[in-house]
Amino acid sequence: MIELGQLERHHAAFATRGVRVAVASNDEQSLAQETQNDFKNLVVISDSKQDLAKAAGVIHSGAALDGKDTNAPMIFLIDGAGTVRWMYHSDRFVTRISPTELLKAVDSTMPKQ
Amino acid sequence: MSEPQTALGRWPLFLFGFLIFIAGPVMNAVQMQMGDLSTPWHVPILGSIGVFFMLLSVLARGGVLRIIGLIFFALFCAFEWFFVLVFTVTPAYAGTVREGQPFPAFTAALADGKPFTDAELKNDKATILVFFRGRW
Repeated sequence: MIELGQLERHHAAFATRGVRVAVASNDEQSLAQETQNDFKNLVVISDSKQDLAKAAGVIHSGAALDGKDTNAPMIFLIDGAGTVRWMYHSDRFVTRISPTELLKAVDSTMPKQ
Repeated sequence: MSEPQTALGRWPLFLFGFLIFIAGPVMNAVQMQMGDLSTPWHVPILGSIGVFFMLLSVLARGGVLRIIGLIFFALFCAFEWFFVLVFTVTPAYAGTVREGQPFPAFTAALADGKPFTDAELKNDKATILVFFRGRW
């Protein structure tokens, strides 16, 4: 899990900026717990009913290997009042923004905490 | 069986093409190992260059095995282009979330089973919410 590993390695840089990193997938809770064990500094969310994914509008219909709906990779930066400050949509599911670029987005869009 | 020896045919073009071809996947593996998840355009591009040299080899020296190899790697190269240009493309964002607007209401759970709702996003701490998929 390269993406989560990168975020975990940079957790201190995010924490310094007063930002926590939450990662969501449609994994069942047991699998989410395994992920949490591997990445202790991330907040792992089990969105098995895809309620969060539907609210965020990130459903990628029929794109899972078994033909079911899955998530399009996407990132939202939300301030402490619950307002979306920045969002990133990956045009390919194999492509991700780097933690360094994510930190730049935090620095440019969020007021100093 | 003797092969026609043209100036071009004296060079191991098929081997050269093969090495260029496999350089793409090897570079991609190294790139991923380094945590770089940018679009791997170099894989189909190097694959195409590799197939070009294999084609030159076939034109210069012929040979059944070279022709079979050329067909195999050309098909593989076509798959690489399909993977990058079609298979991995995600649909344009069509959700309702907009910058400057509140994140919509939702209900999910943390890994330990505790509820995680939109109320958790209003606790004075900023959140980067990452949607991920797959376990690679």
